[in-house]
Amino acid sequence: MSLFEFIPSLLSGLGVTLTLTGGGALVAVVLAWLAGLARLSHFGPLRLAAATYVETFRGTSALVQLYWFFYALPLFGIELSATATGIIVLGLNIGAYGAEVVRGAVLSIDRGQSEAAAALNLSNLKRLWIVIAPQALLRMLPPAGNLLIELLKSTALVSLITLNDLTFRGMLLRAETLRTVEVFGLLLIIYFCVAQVLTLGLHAAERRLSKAWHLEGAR
Amino acid sequence: MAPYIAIRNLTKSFGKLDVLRGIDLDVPQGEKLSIIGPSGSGKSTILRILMTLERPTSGEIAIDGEPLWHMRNNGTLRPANKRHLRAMRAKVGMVFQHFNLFPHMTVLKNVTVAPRHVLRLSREESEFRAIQLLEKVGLSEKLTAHPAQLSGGQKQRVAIARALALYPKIMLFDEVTSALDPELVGEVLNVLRDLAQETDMTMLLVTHEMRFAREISDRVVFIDQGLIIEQGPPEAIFSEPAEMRTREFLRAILGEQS
Repeated sequence: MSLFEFIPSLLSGLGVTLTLTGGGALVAVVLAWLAGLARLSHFGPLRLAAATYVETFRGTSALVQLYWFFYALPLFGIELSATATGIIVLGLNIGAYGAEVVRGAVLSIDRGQSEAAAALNLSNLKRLWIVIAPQALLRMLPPAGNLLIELLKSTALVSLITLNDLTFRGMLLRAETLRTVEVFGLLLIIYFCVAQVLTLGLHAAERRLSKAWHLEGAR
Repeated sequence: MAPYIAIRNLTKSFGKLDVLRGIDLDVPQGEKLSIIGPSGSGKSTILRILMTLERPTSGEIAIDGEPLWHMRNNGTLRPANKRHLRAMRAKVGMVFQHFNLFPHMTVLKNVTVAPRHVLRLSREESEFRAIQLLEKVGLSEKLTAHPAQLSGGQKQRVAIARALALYPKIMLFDEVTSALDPELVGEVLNVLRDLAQETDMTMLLVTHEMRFAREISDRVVFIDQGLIIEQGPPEAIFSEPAEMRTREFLRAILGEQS
């Protein structure tokens, strides 16, 4: 069996991996904004709720979280498919780190921006969404790229809750062919290539925004 | 006639630092008032409190008879809530030392954002007004530029148009030429001069441009260490200041500027 014959099986696994990465990223982005902004709120209970979420998911093992959602949650009557579990848990996990990225980026915007917005009598919400958030978004892109790659790599964990992702396919192939070096080598290369594509994509987005706003040092 | 802006015994402390130590100031409608004084004397803090960016420690301010930081409630005054502050803010506009333009918006968007979202004007109407204002400050050719493409003087002129777009009754100018390269100061002062001559807006300027203050002001207030030391018509303040501290300050700063 030549290496090329491994490709179809690995590619079908890659589809599952990309689905989880994309879905997880979507969940993570929403949660990161919600929790990141909640941590900046003037309302104490909201801050506390967000901090609890962030610390819980940062402070526990992602694998155990997956096991808990997949094997323990059904005992409370909530059954999710393996794919949904993977997307939600990985999203919750990366979202917790992302919340800190959002918070940091919002805090890094010069105070003069929100003062100018206040002087123009924009409401608090509009100050945030029209003035602060777009500028913060640009500053978030580099750390968000790191988190996206973390997310991609952590999808390998879902092979342990019955999903046929890239890593799981690799394990099967290895068991069938016993060509450990080649199979795992191929896996590494595929993960690496996908990570590169994601990195390039985010860099392009960053460059595009900087250029659209004619910022100095548009990289 | 009742003063348009009435400030009574205004104080502001940042921790142990007393920035304002009891300011009383009346400003009639339409007056062009310059506030001068050494750095750290509290002049900018007065403007920031009027813009509601800074909460006073004590004292009262009324604009057009309406308390700014308080609300009347059954004859008693209590601290203003957010809605009251927003309503009061509609009368006041401010231009900052460091421009604070929104870097992700074009010049046109910078000037239309508040009319669109605060006054809820249509896009056409807000753009029509913005273009008029940008023409007035000499920047109608820069509508689609972003702030990063402008010089400091151009940025400040956009900031002036942006503040004017809400048609405030009171305009506050906080050292608006201090961050500019010397050769760009003139273009901003020209815009201010035109505004002072053409409009009946009440204008408060904190400035280090003494010659300019003398030229356009109806009245000049000299502040030092959080107190008004002396005030009067520009001729009196600049030609024959009564107070020792005013004389010392003017000697120091005019010595630098001549």
